[in-house]
Amino acid sequence: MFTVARRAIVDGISDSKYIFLTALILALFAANGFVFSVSYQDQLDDYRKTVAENYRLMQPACSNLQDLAVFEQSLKKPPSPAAFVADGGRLFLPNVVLLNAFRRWEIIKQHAVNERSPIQQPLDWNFIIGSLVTLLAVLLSYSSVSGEKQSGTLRQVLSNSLPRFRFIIAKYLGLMFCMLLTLGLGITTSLVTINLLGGPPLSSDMLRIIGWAAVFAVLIISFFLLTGLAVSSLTGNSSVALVILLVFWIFAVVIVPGAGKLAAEQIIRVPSDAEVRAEVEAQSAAIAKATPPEATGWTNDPSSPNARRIKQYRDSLRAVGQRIEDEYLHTQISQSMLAQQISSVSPSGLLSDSLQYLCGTGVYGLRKFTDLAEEYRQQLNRFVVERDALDKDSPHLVFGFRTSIYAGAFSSDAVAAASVPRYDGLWTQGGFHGKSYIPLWQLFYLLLLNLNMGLLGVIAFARADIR
Amino acid sequence: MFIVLLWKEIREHLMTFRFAAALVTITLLIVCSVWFLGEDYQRRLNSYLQASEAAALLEREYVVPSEISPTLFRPPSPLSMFTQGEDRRFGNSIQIKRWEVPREATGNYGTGLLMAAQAPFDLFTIVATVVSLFGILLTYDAISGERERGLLRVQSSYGASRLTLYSAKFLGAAVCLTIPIVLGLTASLVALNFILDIVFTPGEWLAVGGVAFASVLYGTVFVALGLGCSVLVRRSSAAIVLALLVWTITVVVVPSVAQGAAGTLSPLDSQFAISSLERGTEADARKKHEELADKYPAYEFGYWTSSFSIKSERFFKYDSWEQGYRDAESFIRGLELVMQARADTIRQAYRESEARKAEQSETEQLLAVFSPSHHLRHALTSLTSTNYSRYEDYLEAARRYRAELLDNFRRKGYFSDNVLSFFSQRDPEEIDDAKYGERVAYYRSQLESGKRYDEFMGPKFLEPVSASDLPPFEYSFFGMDSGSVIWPLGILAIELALLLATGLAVFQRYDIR
Repeated sequence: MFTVARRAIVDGISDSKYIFLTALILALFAANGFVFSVSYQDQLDDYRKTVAENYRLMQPACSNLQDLAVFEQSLKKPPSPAAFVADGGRLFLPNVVLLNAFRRWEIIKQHAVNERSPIQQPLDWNFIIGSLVTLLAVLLSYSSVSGEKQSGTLRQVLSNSLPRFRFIIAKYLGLMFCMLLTLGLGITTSLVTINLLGGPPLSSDMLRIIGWAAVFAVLIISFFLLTGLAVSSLTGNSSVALVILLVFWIFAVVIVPGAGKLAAEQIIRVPSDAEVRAEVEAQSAAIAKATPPEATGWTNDPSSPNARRIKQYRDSLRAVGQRIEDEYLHTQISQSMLAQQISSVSPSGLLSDSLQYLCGTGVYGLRKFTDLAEEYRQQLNRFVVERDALDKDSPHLVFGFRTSIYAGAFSSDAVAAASVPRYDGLWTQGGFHGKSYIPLWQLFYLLLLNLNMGLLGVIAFARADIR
Repeated sequence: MFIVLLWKEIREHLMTFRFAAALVTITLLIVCSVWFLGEDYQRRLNSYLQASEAAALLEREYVVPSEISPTLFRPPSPLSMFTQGEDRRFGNSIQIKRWEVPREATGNYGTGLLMAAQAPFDLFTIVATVVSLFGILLTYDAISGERERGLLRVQSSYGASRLTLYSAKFLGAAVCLTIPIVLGLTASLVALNFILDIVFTPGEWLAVGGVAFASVLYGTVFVALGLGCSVLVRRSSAAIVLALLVWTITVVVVPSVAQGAAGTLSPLDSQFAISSLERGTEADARKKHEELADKYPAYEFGYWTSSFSIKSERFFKYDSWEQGYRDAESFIRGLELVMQARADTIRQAYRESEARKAEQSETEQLLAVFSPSHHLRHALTSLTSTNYSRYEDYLEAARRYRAELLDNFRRKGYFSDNVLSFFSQRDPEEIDDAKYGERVAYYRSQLESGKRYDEFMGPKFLEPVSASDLPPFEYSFFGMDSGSVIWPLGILAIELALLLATGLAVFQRYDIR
């Protein structure tokens, strides 16, 4: 058995396609480290400047609690230090939330992105492993049984009273060794490049992510190798095995993830922004219609008997707008997550989904970002309410809109800028991306796929005609 | 002899498992993707029509010219059902503002923001990856495989020249690869026409023909590549590996690496610099606005709504219309200069940023020049009017529209030249001090009776804007730029010719034993 495994390793490593593809993969891992390190520094710089400017612009507003409450903050999503593992289409996703203490107003994109360039697969581990390493696994395994059968060596080997299942396991282990060598060298190359170019340090969170990413990569590689062995055993013909495996590979890497997107768009429909606006306007108009005129317009007189009703009216308008826009955002997030879940039927889609989940990028990162932004807004709102409660002269009618100030509605005392909650602090407190972010069901599904394909391979080889 | 050999090649391909796999896979994928994207196009078209209709209704409600801020919608491209390109990625509406030159579109027709951020799954993806892969699979053993089986010697003994033999093998495979593409496209077009009732114009039909041609041309590049590898390497197993490596590099790796490398070699401006400029100039403009407002207090709302009218009680501060008029005129003249200067500063920064982006795109194109999929993308997005330049055309059309709208207003004296017209679109002579006094008295009586401004203002004193104030928005959703189609197709043709010539040159000296 060890002889077979050793021969598989020697054959694999000395194969020209292995050498060439491994060189290509290593070059891509190096490029991944280089491109990430350079862009990460710029992103981090942009992020820090945005945070500082937001804070600087907020300072004058601190002289009046009402100004502070309506001051529109620009919260930026910090760049993920693990984006080299799974970028998640970072440049094409929103990364800035505009909000004040009363509402989230907009979610926008603010990237140094070239709109002229088409959307391409980012050069991350997800792409390199999901596309190229899996292709290498296919090319190494397609002739592992059928090739030996065609050359007649299989018969010779099995005539040495070596049980068939041992032979196939030895083949699998030998090929797996070759693949792990490529993967290990690739990951090391990427990490060394990032380290040399001053990328983010390898914190314990980062090591945890890298470790899990490696586990997923190993399982994906193992699955493609087992598929290659199974198909090679089933067909007994290298040429046919290669065609089948390439069709399988292209389905796994290109077609199923793409089809997942089309299917998700059919299942979950997202309204247009004009429809969303119309819905907000219609519901606001309904509220306005149901409200008596004296309870709508602020008369700068907080002692008026209508003052509280006006606050309630304005609060309802704000709440309805926020609710509809929240629903709109959640529909979009659900649609994207469904697309990823459907794509996860394919191992490459599963890898992409798992790595994004692990790194907090893609739709998962966006969801966390908007959740934290809402948490921050609530903190800010509580802060304004608490400060207002300290002002004995205030009528305590804390309400507001995007920029409008309702004179006299609540305290206009100054607050210390240092005491105002800060969003960047909230992001850091939340840990890297939360400690429980391990894609467990994806892990289980991959293990199951491996087990099934392994069994199929063993059974197929056990019943194969080796003549 | 050529015809005999060609027919033999076609027949042999038609009987193979790979052809059956190619036929089923490519045809089904094309039909499914075009069908789903056809439905998506219809949804977006309906959304566009509804939004345009709502905007037209809103335009009729304009009362004061300064309130005019029409929204211009970008219709979806009907051919986006073949190639999505950038059609769904960018915004589709631009609100024309007096003090802002349009630089990007916002809004969508129901395309989730997050979905638009992912590479689309369309005909381009299918042709670029699946068709090209089958192109290789059809030919990688055309020469080496026949040599291994001894058939090449037999064929050569028929007396056919090597050129004939090579051409027949190439054309046979090319014809077989064309079958699923044409079948898939034909079935899709039939479905679109009869089930979804989508009808194309002659220009669009021409573009659909171009899409089919580009797809076939691209596929044949890989047929030639497979054939070339089959000649270069004597064993079929080595030929497929070589062809797959070239395929992986040119189709999968190069486009991603070129983009990443171009981003590093030609970096863009920091986004912070631009947003900081916007915020900085906004703060500066606000400050100047406040200074003007203090100096000439004849205004109503903030300039952000661009809404100035005599609705305001601020006019009541004046003892005579004359004084109010002069102040308002000075205020508006001053503010126009401030805001226009801000618009120009931001526009200039964007122009510089655009120039750097164009430079980066050129770097990317240079790095990806050997990637056929890069050229296919350019050809298909140009043919289907879903490329970035169509989006740029839309932005440019919106900028022209704004300039024309402002020209119209200036011609009619709606701005500084004639503050009264700007306010109410009435002749200045109509409002003299006596009438001003009457109006003020009327406002006061209404306000004292407990009414709000919006309840007693409006058509009574303000006439609606005439339809001729709004110029037509001239932008067509379909506008194929032949130059941007011919260039990538030309490169694909050159790549094909080079591959065929190299393969043939090697085959001329090929040892057929």
